[in-house]
Amino acid sequence: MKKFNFNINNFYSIFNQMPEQSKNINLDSFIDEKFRKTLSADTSDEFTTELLKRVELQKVFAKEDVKTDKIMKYLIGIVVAFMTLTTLFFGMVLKTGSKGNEVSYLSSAIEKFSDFIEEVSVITMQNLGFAVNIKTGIILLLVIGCIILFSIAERNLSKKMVKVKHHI
Amino acid sequence: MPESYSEIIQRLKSGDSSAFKIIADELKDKAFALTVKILNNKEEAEDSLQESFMKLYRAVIDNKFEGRSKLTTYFYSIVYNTALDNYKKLKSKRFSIVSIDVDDSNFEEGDDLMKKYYETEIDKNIYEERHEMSTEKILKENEIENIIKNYIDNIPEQYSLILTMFYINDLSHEEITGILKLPIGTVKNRLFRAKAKLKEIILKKYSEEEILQYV
Repeated sequence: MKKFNFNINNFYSIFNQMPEQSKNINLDSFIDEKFRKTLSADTSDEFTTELLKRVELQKVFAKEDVKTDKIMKYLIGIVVAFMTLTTLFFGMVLKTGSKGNEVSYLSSAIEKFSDFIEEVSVITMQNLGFAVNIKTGIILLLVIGCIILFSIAERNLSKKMVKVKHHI
Repeated sequence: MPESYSEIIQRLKSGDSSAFKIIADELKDKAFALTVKILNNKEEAEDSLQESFMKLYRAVIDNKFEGRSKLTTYFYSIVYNTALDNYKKLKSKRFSIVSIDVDDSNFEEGDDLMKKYYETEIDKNIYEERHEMSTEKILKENEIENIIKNYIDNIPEQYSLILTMFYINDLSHEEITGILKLPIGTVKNRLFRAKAKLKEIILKKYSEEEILQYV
């Protein structure tokens, strides 16, 4: 027959464990609660109001950005179309001029422009050592046009950036 | 019934920016606790937090937040990184950048926790000033709170940041691991050690029965 071995210490350890565990849980929860209380921090009363103002501004600027993007796209389109049309126009006028079929008011203006370029060419040849022809003149004009356009666009964008900084 | 974050996000995307107030009201104080722990200055912490909220707003509007993680985890990650960037910009001498940075190859786990904390004697004047209006129980509770505050103020940031993320920001071990880029074992170990050390300090002064009066 199997001998039943009952140890009184085991009996106590089983029943004494419950309040000890419960104590530990309570102490842990006490420390957890104190950690939460001590680590917490509050923002100022105006925090949310200020934040919502910034959000509203952000919304306004986002709308403006869309507008500016549209305007920039139109401007770039206009410049590209202008450049293409000018090149084609000058090409056609020069071609017809060389054949000598028609002498219009416009082609005489081109001739005047061509004469001016030739004069500039002579001056640059004398002073700088290189010549300028009508084609380089057209290219130079287009480059100057592009520079002016981009500087205007950049000025507008930088103005906008300053505005954003002042508001935020 | 409070709106879920996904509903708020939808409202924001449809142009209703007032919905952002719900997010701000719910998260501002919790996130502020984290920012102020890093920057150690309330004004700078508020500025940094405003910046973080704006980043969150733009991320939602521009569809950069794809909903792979929880909005709160995503936000606290922004808060942590923005505060850290701002801290680096400010180069404050009050706070050691080596200890904020997650790269802690030279840091021996727990060493600083033991070194830096000195049990501060509670100013006896506190008793005299408040004696007339406070009961002994309130004083004892205040004293325990002072010990805890002092402990938290003095433990290294490796611990206090994790404690803030865990207790205030309600982030899980895994989420903290994701934000701080630390192994999960380190995060768990630091939480355990910070708590165990505090328990040890409190139990040196007070018996469990005394403490449990305040639970």
